[in-house]
Amino acid sequence: MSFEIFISQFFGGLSVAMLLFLVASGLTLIFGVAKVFNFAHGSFYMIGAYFSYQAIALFDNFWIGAVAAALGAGLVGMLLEICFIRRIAGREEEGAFQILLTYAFILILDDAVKFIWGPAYKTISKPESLAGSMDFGAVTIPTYNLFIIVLGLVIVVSAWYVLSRTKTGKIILAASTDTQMVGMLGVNVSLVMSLVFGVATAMGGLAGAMAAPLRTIAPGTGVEVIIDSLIVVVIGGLGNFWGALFAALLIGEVNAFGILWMPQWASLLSFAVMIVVLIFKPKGLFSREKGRKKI
Amino acid sequence: MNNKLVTMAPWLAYFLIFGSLVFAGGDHTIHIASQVIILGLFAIAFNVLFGTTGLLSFGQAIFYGLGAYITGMMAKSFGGDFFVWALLIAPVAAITLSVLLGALSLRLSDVYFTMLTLAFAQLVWGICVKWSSFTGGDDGIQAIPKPELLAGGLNYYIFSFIIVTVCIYLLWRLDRSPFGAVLKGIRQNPTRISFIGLNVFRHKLLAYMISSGFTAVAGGLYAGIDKSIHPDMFVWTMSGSIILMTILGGMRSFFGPLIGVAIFILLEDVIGRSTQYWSFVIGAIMITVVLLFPKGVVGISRHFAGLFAKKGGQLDNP
Amino acid sequence: MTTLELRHVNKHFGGLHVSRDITMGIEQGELTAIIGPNGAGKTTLFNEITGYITPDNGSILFDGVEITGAEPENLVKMGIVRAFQVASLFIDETVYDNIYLAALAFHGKNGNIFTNRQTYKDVAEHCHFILGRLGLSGKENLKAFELSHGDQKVLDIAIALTMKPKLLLLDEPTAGMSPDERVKMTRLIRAIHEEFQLTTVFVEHDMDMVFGIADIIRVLVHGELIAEGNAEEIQKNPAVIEAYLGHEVL
Ligand SMILES: Nc1ncnc2c1ncn2[C@@H]1O[C@H](COP(=O)(O)OP(=O)(O)O)[C@@H](O)[C@H]1O
Ligand SMILES: [Mg+2]
Repeated sequence: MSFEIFISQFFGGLSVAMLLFLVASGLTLIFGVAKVFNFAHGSFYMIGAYFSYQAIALFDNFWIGAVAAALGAGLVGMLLEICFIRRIAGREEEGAFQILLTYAFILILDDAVKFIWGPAYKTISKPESLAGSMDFGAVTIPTYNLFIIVLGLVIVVSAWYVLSRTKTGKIILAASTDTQMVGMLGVNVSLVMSLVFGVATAMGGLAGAMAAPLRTIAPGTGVEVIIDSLIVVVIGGLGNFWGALFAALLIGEVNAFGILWMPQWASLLSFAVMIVVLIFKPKGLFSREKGRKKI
Repeated sequence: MNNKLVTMAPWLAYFLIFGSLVFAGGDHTIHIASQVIILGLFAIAFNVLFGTTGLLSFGQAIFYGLGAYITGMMAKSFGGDFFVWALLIAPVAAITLSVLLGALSLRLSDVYFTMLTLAFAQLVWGICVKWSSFTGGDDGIQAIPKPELLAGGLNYYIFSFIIVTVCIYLLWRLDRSPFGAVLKGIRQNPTRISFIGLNVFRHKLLAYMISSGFTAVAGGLYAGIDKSIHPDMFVWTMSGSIILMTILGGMRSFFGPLIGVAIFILLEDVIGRSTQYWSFVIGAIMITVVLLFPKGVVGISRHFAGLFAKKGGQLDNP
Repeated sequence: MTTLELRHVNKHFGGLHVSRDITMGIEQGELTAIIGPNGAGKTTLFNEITGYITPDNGSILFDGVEITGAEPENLVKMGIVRAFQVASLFIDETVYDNIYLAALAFHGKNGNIFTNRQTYKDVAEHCHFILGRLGLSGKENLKAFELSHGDQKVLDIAIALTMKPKLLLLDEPTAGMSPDERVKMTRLIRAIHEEFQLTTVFVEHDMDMVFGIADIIRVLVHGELIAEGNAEEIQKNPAVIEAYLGHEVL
């Protein structure tokens, strides 16, 4: 492999990883804070892409599309949390019912976009300002990919800042570990949960909009995305923000180089990585062997 | 005596309904009924994991598809007479695979287990689609030969009915066995199970093997209905539908999953044909069931039966 | 003969040192009370002895055999059985089925897949004996969740006894009980201790009960075993008085 190919694959992998991280970090955030496994998280990526397509069709502006995607997906996410997910909280075998409920969302959202936008796939193009590419000596990298990498980094840093350096972040983290206590301090815990849900699904929707120029927009993409994010969060450890970042980078690069190595089977490599990780670290790479439940 | 009648009543209904179809059913009915009993076996086997042991696997389609492909490919390679033998080989293969997958996934709890089973299912589905030289890829396998005797729809239904009934009977015995009691204990309180001296993992693994074996039989039988199989049998929505049918019927009752399958397939036959938004309908049913009727159809009818029973009791003891 | 021996057992939870170099020997047939304030590490000690958690270092011996790090299910088979601070039951099952499941496990029937679970005469007899002995007869068809708090604790102990323990550990058997129930439970513990020839260790806050029935009392404070001896010795022990300063019971 020449150095040029290596570098360009590496950056390709990096941009895929950042998109993956945008989705997976939302998934892991919802799980870590609200203790909900949002099986439908990939579907917010999908509706984000459709919202952005619609906004671009109306206003002919990529950035309005991005905002519409994040806002739209976030609102739908909060709505579903308030109307449905919240209502099964505390039930016996809540985990299983959460998965089933969010599975139903996948089916419904898939058909909803088919109903609204039709079964044929849609495309949108990159914004003109980012359509070109940048030369680094012998290596040429699409500007849009670099943009996604930078965007991803900005979001990583701001999420880190909010969660670990602000009062809001402290409330969120406290709400996840000691709901009752935080409730007694006068914080509206269910509002916090809805907001976390909203922010996380907005990140998913934004990822969908950002990925749209690179891929196609079609019903059913949510499932592919959730499977990939699932692999990422399982490798990184559910609820582990930095684990998700590392795992997204790993999977992004494995895919980027795997496609050179064994083109036909590349899409199955992520599974192989996940299975290997789970054999040695059943709770993800970054799990500390936690004590058993108190009795 | 009365008690015995209560336990036998579902069996009586089972034989009455599915037996009478042998005499009364037209081609379409028989086709539907074949699907109901075969998927019914799948759902009841799945419920050994879900309703009984509390393990939500999203990957049981692996074993369903495996059963179908082993049966289909063997019959295709070695001729129709081999079809029945393949039905025996399918569960053996499935059980072997389940030991491997179970050993990896059953160490994890709750969501992790569910998601790992889903990931395995996607992996197997991916292999099935990509390895087209061996599996026929996206097109699947058509024109699977069957023995002369099983050629007609009705004959095949009778054959399936016998095999499914034997399997369901065995699973019914399991449900009422000491082993079944341990599985229910694991669902309710795994810690306590270890403190009465039992190894939780080993019992879960055995349950997983058994469930997977019977699932493969269902898959194998399915290969004979339309004589064609396709990678969709492996796909995760297959597992999803089985889960839905199971809770729709009632996961806390032995025959609940079969009832759920029957309702689901009849609905699909009526509604599914007239709309292209069938997934939407499934999703809506699922939300309704999860939010309002988590105990399924059986749960609802038990609730009403309970109301009547209480009234009766008051009359007896004024 | 020493039934249970702990040698320099230590356990940390993060920065919290919950078992501090605990060394003790419990003789066969002894009825031991472990006392100490909440958070002293009593339950943790039980968890270590029964294999639910493994100590950071030190060793635990049962009948002279090293058992440190063994799994709970294997220890149960050796005869180390416990009841829990919060009754640990099969909550949707009847009282009878709770005990029946334990008895099935005890008689090694748990792997029988295709036999009817009602068919084992010896198992059923075993259950009826336990039900009768613990005064649960008449309640066998109630679901576990329908029982009173006190009866749930009794059922928890019944499950433990079904396993025919040699060493029985009871974690706060009278917690949350009415005074009446406490007296009954106290008598029950003493009675089964003798009748089943057990070595019994129980955690208890009710000092009347502790001084009334325990042969030996061991005091745990901040993870440290600060005193052991009979009732009189403990009541006079300066370290214990210091630790319990202000507690009139002593
Ligand atoms: N699994 C655990 N993880 C972290 N801390 C624990 C765990 N179990 C117990 N603790 C802590 O260890 C201390 C001792 O607990 P415990 O043994 O339950 O005390 P006791 O039974 O004497 O009241 C407490 O501060 C408790 O919070
Ligand atoms: Mg305690």
